[in-house]
Amino acid sequence: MRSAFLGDGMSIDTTEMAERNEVVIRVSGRLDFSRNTEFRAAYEGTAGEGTHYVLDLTGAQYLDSSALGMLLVFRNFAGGDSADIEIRVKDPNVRRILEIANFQELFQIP
Amino acid sequence: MSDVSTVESHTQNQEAADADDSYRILLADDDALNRRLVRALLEHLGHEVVTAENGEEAVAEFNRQAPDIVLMDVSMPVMDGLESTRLIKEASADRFVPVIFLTAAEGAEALQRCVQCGGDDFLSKPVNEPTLHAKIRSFGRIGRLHEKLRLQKDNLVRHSLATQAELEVAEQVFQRIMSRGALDSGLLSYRISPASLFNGDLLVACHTPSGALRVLLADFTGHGLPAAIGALPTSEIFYAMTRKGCGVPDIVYELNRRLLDCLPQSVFCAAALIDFDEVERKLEIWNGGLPDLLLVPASGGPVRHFASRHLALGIRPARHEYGQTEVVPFSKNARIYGYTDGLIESVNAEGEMFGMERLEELLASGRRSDDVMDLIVDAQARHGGGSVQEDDITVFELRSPDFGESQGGETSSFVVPTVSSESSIAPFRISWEFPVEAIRHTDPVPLIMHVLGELGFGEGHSSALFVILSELFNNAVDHGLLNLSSELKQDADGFLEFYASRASALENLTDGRVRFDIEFGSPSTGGALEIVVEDDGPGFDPKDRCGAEEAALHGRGLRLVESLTREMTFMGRGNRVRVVYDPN
Repeated sequence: MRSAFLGDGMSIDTTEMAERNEVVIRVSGRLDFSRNTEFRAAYEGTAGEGTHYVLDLTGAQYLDSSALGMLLVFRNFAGGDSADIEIRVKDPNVRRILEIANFQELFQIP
Repeated sequence: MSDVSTVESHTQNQEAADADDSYRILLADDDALNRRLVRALLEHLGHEVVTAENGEEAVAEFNRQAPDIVLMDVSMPVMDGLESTRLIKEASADRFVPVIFLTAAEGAEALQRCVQCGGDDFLSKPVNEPTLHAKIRSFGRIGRLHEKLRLQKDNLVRHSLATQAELEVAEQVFQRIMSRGALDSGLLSYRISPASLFNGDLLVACHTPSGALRVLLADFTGHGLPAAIGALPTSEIFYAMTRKGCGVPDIVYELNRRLLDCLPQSVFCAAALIDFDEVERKLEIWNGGLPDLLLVPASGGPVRHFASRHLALGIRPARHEYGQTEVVPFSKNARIYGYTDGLIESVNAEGEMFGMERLEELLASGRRSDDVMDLIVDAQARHGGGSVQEDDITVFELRSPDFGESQGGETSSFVVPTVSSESSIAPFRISWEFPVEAIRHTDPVPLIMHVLGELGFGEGHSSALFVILSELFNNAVDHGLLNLSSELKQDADGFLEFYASRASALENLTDGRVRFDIEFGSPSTGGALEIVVEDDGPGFDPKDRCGAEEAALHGRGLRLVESLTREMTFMGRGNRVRVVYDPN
């Protein structure tokens, strides 16, 4: 029933900016468990702890609770409690889901 | 010489047929010369050859040797190739064994008959090596691919059946967990509709020893088995700690710790815990990761939200404020609703979510209705318009009863035991002293209850003793150490203020202690249980406590203690209270 969201614009892109020690991961479409492998692949080759990550969800329209689990695994990869991950959101529903889960305690969500 | 040629042909065979390209081939031909010729060609290409001299033999060999490919002459004595092929195809319906006809210059009609009986291709005689090689190769590969798919499909079917069976077991486990508790309490109604065979949502309820109703709604990430794994420790901890009378924050800390230990990182548990104290008509609420709980007052007025203020359970070790709860009055006929995100996030064909606003309107308009659960389920189904439900949906309603319909007065839910085998409990005497540091972070009552249970004051006494101990303890802390006034609790605002100021006063208190002395079997009490609770606060004038206006000055809690005990006396400067509990 959520196929309404399943547009063609489903992609996950990683951009590494070595000089700024920054990695930007841009997710569009929906983020759920069906994209777990793809999402992991997006960060697994990067440096992990000590890197400033920007997870750009401004192009994402839907996020479910399994995606929250995926974000936690990502956070662990990025150093757990010392992870430096900024999540950018635009869609109010996506923001609300992150807020209900209180993920602002774990990620920077401006 | 012959040795050399054997070696040579062996090497060639190896090249022609790398491990993947070598097959067992059944060759059926009544012409001995033809058989020898084709067999030589096939063996040269590295294949294993089984021969038959007529159709009947071919069927027998087929069943015995299970070849990968069949090369079939058309006209043979006893049984011709067409009939033989039909039988072979019948026998191998579940797997693909290509049958290639070896034909002389047959006409189109004959070829058609070959196809009709199940033949897959033709090779014209005399057979030449490159054509034979090419056909065997391509059909062999198709056959292998087919076989692989078949095995995978079988595997999937088997796997899916096994999963289904496991899920059914898990579902039974879940239902047993839920049915053990107090979900059928008249104050609760609920709906659970799983998206998959069984649900990632867990709803359990249980009474504390003092008769308060606890409800836990938990939504594990994912469905099925991962959820069942988490549900077991969650429900066990919830039931065990609730029955011991542990506070909501203690349960939250313990659940978090245990789920952190046992769940994989990507699995966690959004949860809400509600404690409904019927005596004080207050709710204590903790929400970590679930959508807003909604409190609907009976008399109109706005719906109140209790948003998630904490991370879900099982994400990371608890910080200091993790167990923080909200305490609110729960007036007659008010209702509180909890639900999992599946409800408000269910989407209709236009991609529009059901949404919290819609739910809130529904609840407000149904505040006098008896079947709000049905209203919600109907509205949700109408919204979805028959589209497939994607997430588990659980919703519950907890109602504050009328005095009439609850089991009556304030003490009725506590059953004072009438008969007890007094002789089975040996005399004992124990003392505990809790300094303020201990009081701040733990509730000593469950500990004491546990010890008393071990000594023989368990079953049958626990509800009464829990009320006595916790009321006396709270009295010692609230009024003895913290010097708070109960009068605050009279109206709703004061009520909130009371609990807020209690928390901050306790945080700021640097000195103080509460002491319990419990003795059983002393002659002075005539075989009863004597409990003395003492605090080192400034105390009260005992005359205020024991005078004629006693009833008015005592809080409801102390009146309750009085009704459960044989004697209650204040001593010292009012900082020491002695009660005698008669176990018979």
